[in-house]
Amino acid sequence: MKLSVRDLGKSFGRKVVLRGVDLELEKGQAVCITGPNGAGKSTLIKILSTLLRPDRGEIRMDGENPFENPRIFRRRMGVVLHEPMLYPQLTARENLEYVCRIYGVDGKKAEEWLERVGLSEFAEERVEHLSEGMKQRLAIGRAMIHSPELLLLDEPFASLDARGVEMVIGLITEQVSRGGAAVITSHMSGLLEGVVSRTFQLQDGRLV
Amino acid sequence: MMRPIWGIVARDVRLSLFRSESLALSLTFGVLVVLVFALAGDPTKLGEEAKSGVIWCGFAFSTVVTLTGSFRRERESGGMELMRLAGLSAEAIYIGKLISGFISSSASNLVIGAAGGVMLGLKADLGGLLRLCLIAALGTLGICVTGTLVAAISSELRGGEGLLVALLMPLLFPVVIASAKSFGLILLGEGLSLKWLGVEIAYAAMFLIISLLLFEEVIE
Repeated sequence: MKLSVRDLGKSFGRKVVLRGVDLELEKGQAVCITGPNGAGKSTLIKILSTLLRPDRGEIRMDGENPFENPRIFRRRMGVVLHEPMLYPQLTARENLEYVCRIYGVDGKKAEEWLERVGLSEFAEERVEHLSEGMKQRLAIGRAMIHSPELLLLDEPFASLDARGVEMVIGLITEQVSRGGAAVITSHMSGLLEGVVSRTFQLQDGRLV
Repeated sequence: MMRPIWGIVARDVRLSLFRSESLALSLTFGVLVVLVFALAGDPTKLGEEAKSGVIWCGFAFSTVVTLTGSFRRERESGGMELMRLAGLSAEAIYIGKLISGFISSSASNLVIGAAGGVMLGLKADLGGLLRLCLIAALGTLGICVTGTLVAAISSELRGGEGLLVALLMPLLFPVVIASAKSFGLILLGEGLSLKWLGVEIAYAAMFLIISLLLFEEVIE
């Protein structure tokens, strides 16, 4: 998927969060976006995922405006936001099985991804009983279970231990090497050296 | 389209009936309404139509509590965003939530109906009981058809749960009154009233069409 962002702007009331973001991303590339809290990184990820509409500017995915037919483009993305988008009262396995059903992928993928994110032995635990780091691993598995072309990860290393960080870096590397693309926001951009092709700072609502 | 809908239904019913306080809460509300009326006076002095009204107050409150809980869970877990990100159509999400709301509400209404029947001393033969079940199912469906749309709207707003009751209750009057009237006539031994049955069906059909047309605007 080729992603092209031009002059993206977004405000909440009087607060201007994004003032003109430009970004180009090709297949097989990943970019990292850093910036202080409140810089607008999460807003940018939500807009790229089409969950939030920008006030101005243009997004093109493979030359098309994803907001004109968001359902088609959303299926091609895997998204991790601050909220893990998991049901706390369901087990880890039940959550992934549910995701398989709504994405229309083989239910066996749930087992495969529990193993890939290192949660096989916690498969029958309710999500509300998992640690924050485990929830984050599960959220990343949830986002990647349908083999998305574009991965949008908002602070994927949050709450992860060293092994978890290593696992996520491995998954992003794999995503890029199989021809996918990724946009990652993180305070820990150093961890992504060698994985991402560029690192941007989100400053005053622009990528520099 | 069917697999995602079934996925939503299975997940939602599991959460509503077995994994949350939702069922206990809706049962408590519903049974409490019936209990208050039953203990406030002598139930034997209440007419069959009044008893039907009491039962339908219980059904309506219980169903609203069930639907509120269902959308609160979606809001708290980001479930609606997840369904949107999976590329599900608004219609699929609405139908999934409607069916799951109907199943969960019917389960609690079954218990409330049975408890109300005992407490209020309702009498019906097998045929009457089947007709009561038909009316209960249609009425509950009508409440769920409207309730699913309004609960989706209110769950996105600040103070939404209070707003849900304020918005929903006036909209539910036609179906609740039609159902209570039908119930009363069956209990009086007058059989199924086609007039009130028609109102229930027309209400459900009309709000189903409106909801399917509006749901995309609501969730997007």
